[in-house]
Amino acid sequence: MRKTHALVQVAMALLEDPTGKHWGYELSKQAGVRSGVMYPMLTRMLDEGWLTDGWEDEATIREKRPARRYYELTDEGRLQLGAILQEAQSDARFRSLTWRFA
Amino acid sequence: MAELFEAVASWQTLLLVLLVFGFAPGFVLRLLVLAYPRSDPRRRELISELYAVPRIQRPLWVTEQLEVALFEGLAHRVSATIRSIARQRRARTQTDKRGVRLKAGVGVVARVWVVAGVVAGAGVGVGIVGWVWAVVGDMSEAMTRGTAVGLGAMVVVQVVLLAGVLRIARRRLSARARRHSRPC
Repeated sequence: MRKTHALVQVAMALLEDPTGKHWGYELSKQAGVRSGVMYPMLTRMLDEGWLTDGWEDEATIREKRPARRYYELTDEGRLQLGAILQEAQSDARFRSLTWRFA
Repeated sequence: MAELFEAVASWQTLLLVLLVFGFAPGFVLRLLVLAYPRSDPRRRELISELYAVPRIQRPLWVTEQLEVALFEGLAHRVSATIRSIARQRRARTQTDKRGVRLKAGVGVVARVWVVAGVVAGAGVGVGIVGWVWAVVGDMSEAMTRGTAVGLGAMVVVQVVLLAGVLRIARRRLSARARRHSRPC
C-alpha cells in the first residue's frame, strides 16, 4: 500500500487502541482524514488482511438505530501498520505530523 | 449553456441544496448508497454511521459521502458489471442449441418491436406534420404536433405489439405446463 499522509494518520489512529474496535466516523475524526479517503483505505486494509470487520450486536443497541460496522486490527495489521509508522517517523515527508508514538 | 451555469450557480439552487441536504440527509444518503452493489456492506455501514454523526454535521457528512459513493461505489459497481458480463459470456458458450435459438428469437422479436414502433411513429408523425402544415400553414406548430403525435403512436404500437407477444408467450407456457402435468 502506498505510504501517504492519510495512511500514516489512519495507522496512528488505529494503533492508539491496537486491540479495540474502531468505528468509521470516529476513526475519520480521530485520524483527521476525509471519509472519501478513509473508506477506500479501510477496504484495501480489509483485502490485505490487516483488518477484520464485524457488526455491532443488535441486542446491545438501546437507541433506535441500525447496527454499526466496526473494524479490528489483526496481528498482521498491527505488524504492518507499526512498520509503516516506524518508517514514516524517519521520513522527512511526514515531519509535519504530530507524532503520538515514540 | 450560459443559462445552465446561471441556474446551477443561482441562490435558488443553493437554497434547494441546503434544504435537501439539511432536512433530508438520511433520504439523500439512502439514494447515494445505491451506487454500491446490493451485496456491498458499505451500503448498510454508511446508513448506520449517519446516526453516529452529530445532527448539525450530518448535511456536510452526507455531501462527503457523495465522493465516497462516486469513487468507491460506482467503481465497485462497474467492476461487478464487467465480471457479470464475463460470466454471462462464459455461460453463453456453454448453453445448448435450444438456449441459443431462444435468445436469437428474443433478439428478433425485440428488434421487430423497436423498428415497428419507430416506423409507425415516424409515419404517423410525418403525416400529421404534412396535414397541419397544409391546413394551418405554420411549420413549427406542425413539427410540434407531428412529433407529439408520432411519439404517441410509437408508444401505442409498441404496447400493442408487446401485449401480442406476451399473449403468445403465455399461451405457449400454459400449453407446455399442460403437457408436463399430463400423467404418463
